[in-house]
Amino acid sequence: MTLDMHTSRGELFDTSMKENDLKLIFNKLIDYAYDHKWHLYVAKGGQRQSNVLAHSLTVADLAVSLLDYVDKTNLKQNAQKRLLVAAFFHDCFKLSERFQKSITYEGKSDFTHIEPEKLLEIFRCNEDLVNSLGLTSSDINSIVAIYAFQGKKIESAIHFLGSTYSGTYGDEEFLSRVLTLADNLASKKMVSEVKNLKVDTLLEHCTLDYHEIAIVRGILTQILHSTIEEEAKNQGLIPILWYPEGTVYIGQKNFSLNISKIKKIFEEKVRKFIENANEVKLSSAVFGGIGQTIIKSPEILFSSDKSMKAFLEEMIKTYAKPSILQENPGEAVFNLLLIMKGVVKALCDKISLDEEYVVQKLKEDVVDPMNLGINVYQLKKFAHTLPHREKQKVVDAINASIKKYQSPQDFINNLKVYMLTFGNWCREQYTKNVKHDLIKDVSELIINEITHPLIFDKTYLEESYRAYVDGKSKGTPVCVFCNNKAEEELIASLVEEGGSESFINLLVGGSKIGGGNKAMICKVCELELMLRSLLAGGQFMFFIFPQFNISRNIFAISSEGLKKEKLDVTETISLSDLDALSRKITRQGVHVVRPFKLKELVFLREEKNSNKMRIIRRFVEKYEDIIKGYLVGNFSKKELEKMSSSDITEALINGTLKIDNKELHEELLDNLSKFEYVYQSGNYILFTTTINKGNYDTDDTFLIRKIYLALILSLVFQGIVYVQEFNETFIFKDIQGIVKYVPSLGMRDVEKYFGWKNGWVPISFSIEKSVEKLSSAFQIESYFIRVQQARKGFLLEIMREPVGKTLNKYVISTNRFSSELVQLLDKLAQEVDSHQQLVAKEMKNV
Amino acid sequence: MCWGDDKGVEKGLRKPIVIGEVQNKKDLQDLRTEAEEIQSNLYEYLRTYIPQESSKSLSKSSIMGPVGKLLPQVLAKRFGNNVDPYVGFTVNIHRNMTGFLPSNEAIEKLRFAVQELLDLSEQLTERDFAKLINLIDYGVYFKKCKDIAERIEAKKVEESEVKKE
Repeated sequence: MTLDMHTSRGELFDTSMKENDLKLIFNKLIDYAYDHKWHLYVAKGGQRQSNVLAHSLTVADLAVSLLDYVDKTNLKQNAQKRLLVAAFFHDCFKLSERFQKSITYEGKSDFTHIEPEKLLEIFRCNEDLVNSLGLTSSDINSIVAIYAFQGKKIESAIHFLGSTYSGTYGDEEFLSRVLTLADNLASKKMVSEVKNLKVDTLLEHCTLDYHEIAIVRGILTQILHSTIEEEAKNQGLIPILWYPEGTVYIGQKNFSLNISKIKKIFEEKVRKFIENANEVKLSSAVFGGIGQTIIKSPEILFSSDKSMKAFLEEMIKTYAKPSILQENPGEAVFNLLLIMKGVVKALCDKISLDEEYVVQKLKEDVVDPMNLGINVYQLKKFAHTLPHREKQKVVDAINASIKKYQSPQDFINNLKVYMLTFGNWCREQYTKNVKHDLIKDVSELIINEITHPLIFDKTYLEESYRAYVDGKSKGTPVCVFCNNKAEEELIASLVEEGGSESFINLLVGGSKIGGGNKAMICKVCELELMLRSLLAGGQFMFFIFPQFNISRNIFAISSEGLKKEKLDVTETISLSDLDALSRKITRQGVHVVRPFKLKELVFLREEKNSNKMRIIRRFVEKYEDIIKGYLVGNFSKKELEKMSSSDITEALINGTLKIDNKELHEELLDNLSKFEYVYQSGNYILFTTTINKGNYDTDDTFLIRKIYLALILSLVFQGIVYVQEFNETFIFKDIQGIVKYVPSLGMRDVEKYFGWKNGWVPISFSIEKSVEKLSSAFQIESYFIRVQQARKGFLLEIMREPVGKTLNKYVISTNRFSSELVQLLDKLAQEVDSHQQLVAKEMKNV
Repeated sequence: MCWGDDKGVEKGLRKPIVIGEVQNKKDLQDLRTEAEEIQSNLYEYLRTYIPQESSKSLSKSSIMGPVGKLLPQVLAKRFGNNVDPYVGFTVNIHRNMTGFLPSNEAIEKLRFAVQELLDLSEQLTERDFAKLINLIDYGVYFKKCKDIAERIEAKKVEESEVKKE
């Protein structure tokens, strides 16, 4: 699901080139860069690294964007195209071995050898590229001259201008200044560094400003980013560069924020976000389980009428399915009443209402109109406390009242209406009486996280510190996630599946706390966790940050690739299907994944339909009764009624049947894709997916699978990936590499083997190698699983032991010799050999 | 030894434990090239080893032949640091299994590998040396297996071509 996708700019390119032409040029340049492996060369060192391709793309796009804000009177023909190509190649000297050595080993950039002749040589050697871009020889000379000016080689630039040089520098020098400005801007590592940028006289009439947020925490930060950005746009500022912690704007005046307005819009956006959530996920986020009868996130349930309706409808769908209604309708209704009891309890806990009064209301609104012959006050004793015999009595009483209706389905339809009336009444009571609405409170608190253009509240900081000092003696009053003042106890169900309480031991040794060491969190983190459970129940969440920063047009290209309607869902492999991915990668190399970056992204073509079939079958089984009414095809009604669920599944796959219901069709697509990017803006992407823990997995091997997926994501999105499930304080400034994980003892050897260190996969050690090695290892594991020779944690053994040992194990246990396995092991061994040498070399230099 | 033992009385107190500085040993990672060289030499030698039909199989000990027997002897330092006895030991097994003596060239390769191994044993800790032997053992085995797999593939191709004809 996406909210507020940034609109790609269109009007800015209209001057000389259409946006489509520009995209075309970009795509050609990207192709060229991939062929020449630009993405494997380091452009910027330090903690936030960037490769030459990503940096060149950003600079090229930024330079063209800045051109719109400068005085264009003296520009000649094709200025935009020349600037774009020159900017794209502005760092081509960084592909030299000398530069790569100096930046990787010494951490310094060596800019002393910009040679315009070499750029000319590149154009000469790549006639195809020159022709496809439509560059003339004078264009090329001009591009090389821009490049020379930018490298301060004026004599050389004049030489390239040749006959066209007539005492003045033409527009080449001017364009090179635009390019230098773009390069300077794109080379800032933090958004706050923008204020130190010396703005060239080129931008006389414009100013650069930015917003910055102190803590990058996830969905809420994304919503805050988009709120501020919207406000900036209203003030006539245009976003030109995105960082994970903020955005840079260009415009006529400085950026000022109206706090109360921001709070209001933020609150509205959060509510909208909840409303737009998928109904199934919304109900699972709200509901804590029938055994507990707990509404785990009342704030979400009572946030809007729509969420209440969606929740109750989903509960009826789940607990009063037609199949259950036929078997034992009484029990279905009993369960629904239990859920209503949960709603009553959640309401009374949140607002100071007498529970008996609310139960009386429930009696009047639901139990009495339906003539259920039960004592409504018995509801208090429901759930586990009620003996089985007593429960059976209640169920029998309900069954007796159901018999008065034509069918159980009629009964449920009526009950649904009354339940909705009662639910809405509850919601009204909540909005009237609630003193501290979480969403409202959070909107007040989160404003403190904006460090620019607002000034950070110092008293708030002091208060947090005091709370921390106090916390040494009782529990953890500092939020375990973000170090803010903690106010709520952390409910484990928000963090993990199936947990009931969450304890934490972060206290100073010897502290006497007497059982109060529950993990505490602040309100902002509480809401953040609720929103995440709303979107990613039981799924793994990855944060993908741009390695450096990302510009407008590049963002537009990448986000287009992500738009759901553009994805050909029926012929793709989802990222959660790790086996299929590793098969593709081992057989055809990582280049299979490569072309999907910025263009088609993520998906690979599927070989077999097994995965798709399974998902469709599950879907058909779930909605068997509903789906029959919406099927369209060359079948008569009678034939359709006779069809079994497997017949329908096959017909849906063959295309002889289609679903005519838009909502159902969308849900099927949702299920099919399995790939969900939750929230995307220029700042970063939240990505959720499921990875199944196999029978042969230990904690370590499961971690390796997650790292594998994180590596693929970073390959695809060209970004730093952070695995959310490690609940550490997370501020983007700490980011060093590709994926953060906690290495266990078993993982230490694997770390050595892959060249990862201290729980980080550094970008400088090629990700591609890791991906290819891991996919070979997965393949070998699945080979062993097929012949039933694998055992728990075997994947770890494959990666730590010499390949010959694995092969020998196979030969001994199966008494067979497999050429295919030898090939896979050979691939693994080759990768390990080359990579270990590289790692050893780098370690020595470190 | 009991307290009334004469020898004990003669010696008086037991010898003090001398704690000396252990020579700086090399890291296994630094010796990769040497290890690879040994591996390839042993593999080259093994290419000349063709056992009699009766003892051919795809088990590891069969594939590794005399090299499989040699490596544990080097690890245990059966003949100390003398190269010739190890070579002789291996050549004897070679002759028993094939009925022929290995060529001079093969013996030279073997000698070189053994010499290098013994040199490395001095530079590594015992633990690392055992690891190295393990790596070389499975490394040579895997190289040989790769060779076999290639031959199987080639044979399959040949057979399919013959069938086509």
